[in-house]
Amino acid sequence: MIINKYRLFVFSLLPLFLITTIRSQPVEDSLRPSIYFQASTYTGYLYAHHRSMVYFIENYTRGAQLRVGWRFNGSSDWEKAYRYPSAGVGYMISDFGNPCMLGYGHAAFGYLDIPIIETNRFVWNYNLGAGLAYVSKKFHLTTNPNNIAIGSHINSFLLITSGIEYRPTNKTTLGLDFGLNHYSNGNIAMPNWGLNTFFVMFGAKQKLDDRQKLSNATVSKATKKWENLIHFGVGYKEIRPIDGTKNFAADLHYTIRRRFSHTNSWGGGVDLLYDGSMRKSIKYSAGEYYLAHDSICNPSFVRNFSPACHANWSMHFGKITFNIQMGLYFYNALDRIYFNRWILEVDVTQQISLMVALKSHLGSADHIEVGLVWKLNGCFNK
Amino acid sequence: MASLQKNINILNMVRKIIYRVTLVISFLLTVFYMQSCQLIYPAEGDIVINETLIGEVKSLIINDVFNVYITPDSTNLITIECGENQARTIKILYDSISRKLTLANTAKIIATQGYRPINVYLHVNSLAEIEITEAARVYFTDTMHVSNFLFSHHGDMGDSDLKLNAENIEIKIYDSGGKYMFSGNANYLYIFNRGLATINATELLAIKVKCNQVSNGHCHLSAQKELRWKIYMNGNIYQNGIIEHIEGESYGKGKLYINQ
Repeated sequence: MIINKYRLFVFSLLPLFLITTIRSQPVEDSLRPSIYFQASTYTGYLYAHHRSMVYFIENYTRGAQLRVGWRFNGSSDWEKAYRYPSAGVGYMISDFGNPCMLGYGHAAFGYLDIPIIETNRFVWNYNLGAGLAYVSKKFHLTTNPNNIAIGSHINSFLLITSGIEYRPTNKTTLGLDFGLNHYSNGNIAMPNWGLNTFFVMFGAKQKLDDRQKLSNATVSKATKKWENLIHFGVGYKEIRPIDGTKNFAADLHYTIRRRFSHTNSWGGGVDLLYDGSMRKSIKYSAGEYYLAHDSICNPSFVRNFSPACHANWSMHFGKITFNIQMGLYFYNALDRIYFNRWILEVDVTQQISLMVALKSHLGSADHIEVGLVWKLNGCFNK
Repeated sequence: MASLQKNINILNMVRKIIYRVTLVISFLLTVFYMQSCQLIYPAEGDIVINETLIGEVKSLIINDVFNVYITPDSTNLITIECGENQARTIKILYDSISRKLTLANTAKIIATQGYRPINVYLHVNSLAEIEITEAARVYFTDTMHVSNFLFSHHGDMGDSDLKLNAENIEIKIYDSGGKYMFSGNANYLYIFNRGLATINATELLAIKVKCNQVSNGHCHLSAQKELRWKIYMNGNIYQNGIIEHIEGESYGKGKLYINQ
């Protein structure tokens, strides 16, 4: 990969690129979002969430990121409620501490940068990002058998950081962040332990102009209303014992949630989950770590279904909603009790949203699904 | 008045330039500082070599990530080569009654100690069992002569190269990945391979072989007279040479191949 070959050169150029003053044309409209460029570099360590990962970690990790973003000026209530956050897109390159076995991660992601406390010179903020990543080395039975962390080149990428920014000038900002990034494929291809890097990141941000004025209007009172939603998602997954077979998974659930503020909703609902891998898991369990023959164990199709209920917390960012759900199975053929679901919804129309969701059992990912959300009319609203 | 203003402007410009240059330099220094991780983390420290005399070892349990080099001789000596910070948490437990040697590491966050591989050099003469519970590399520097030998792996991954002369050899790999090489001679060889591991025992000449292949990795064998086999997953069995007695069946996608 040419980007790997010249990565240090690229890393070295980024700060110079940023510090250089970017001249821009005068802006008449002070409410126009102010575009900025950001570059950062980090060092950290790969967290061995399985002890045996130490086997393939040879060094501390390094990486860098580039971002282009803008700050919302508070024209919407949610922007004011989140204290004028920033949003944008970014690229992150990650070295996992063993380039021969783990390769490099190249992630493209969208992010939201939310201030917690802000003064003229200092900001304490937190940062959420999600996107897609390409990991250059993956597991291979003969050529890379010990990389059981990454089973596919294409992975999902998650980023969470929190840090302090200092503004030496009106256009320039220096930042120091602590964070975590995560690469995994949600069990689309196994093995898939995933890679989690904790890091300290230092970077600089350069605004194109400093004419943006933030709206100082007070946040209007939120309309407390009920929302009724039907989520439908599909995905596929692999399970152990690893044999390359893909299993279909689907999820249909109804959620009712009450919006308490411009930023949050609470609610709950019921689920019907389908997991095509149940049959294999049951046969594997019955065979005591062999897949039992059909004459010994032949689970019916119905056992792939699990009815459940869930509690829901939603964070609203304009047209984007992030849901965190905690569910309890009424029935599960593998006698599981609970599950978690992390859903990202993007509004397409007033009634329809697209969704990407990750179902997990606490820290253990189950599968990724994509689908649609249908917003029913608020039948509970007065 | 105009010249005073001009001087002030020049002074401001100089101040701005100094400010900007300082900013660039401090930024670059911070970047270079952060990229050199040894300055931030204590890491492994200086290399230390600790030698310990032990008694006869029948059984070796490897409970953490180590590179273990085993030399068959009667000195009964264990040598650990690692960083000084790593050495603090390495535990060597020797039970003289059961003649069991356990290697462990109590470090909670390995990142604070650095990632230098911990090398263990073990000189023993009658080792009959190796058990790995996490991940380890195990190499025999010479052929070990014992009557019975058990290699069992309950961890996640590993690599090995074992040279053995034994009556009976059992190789049991449970849900592990990696490449495991065996060579030498045996009357009876039992292999249970589950997970993702590849076993290469082509150089291990065994009169009778029983192989339960539950892995996606392949298994290479050299049975001399008899081979009983079963395949449950995608991994194949490759038998080196035609022999009289071969019996078994495949319940998975893997197949038996006989190399002439």
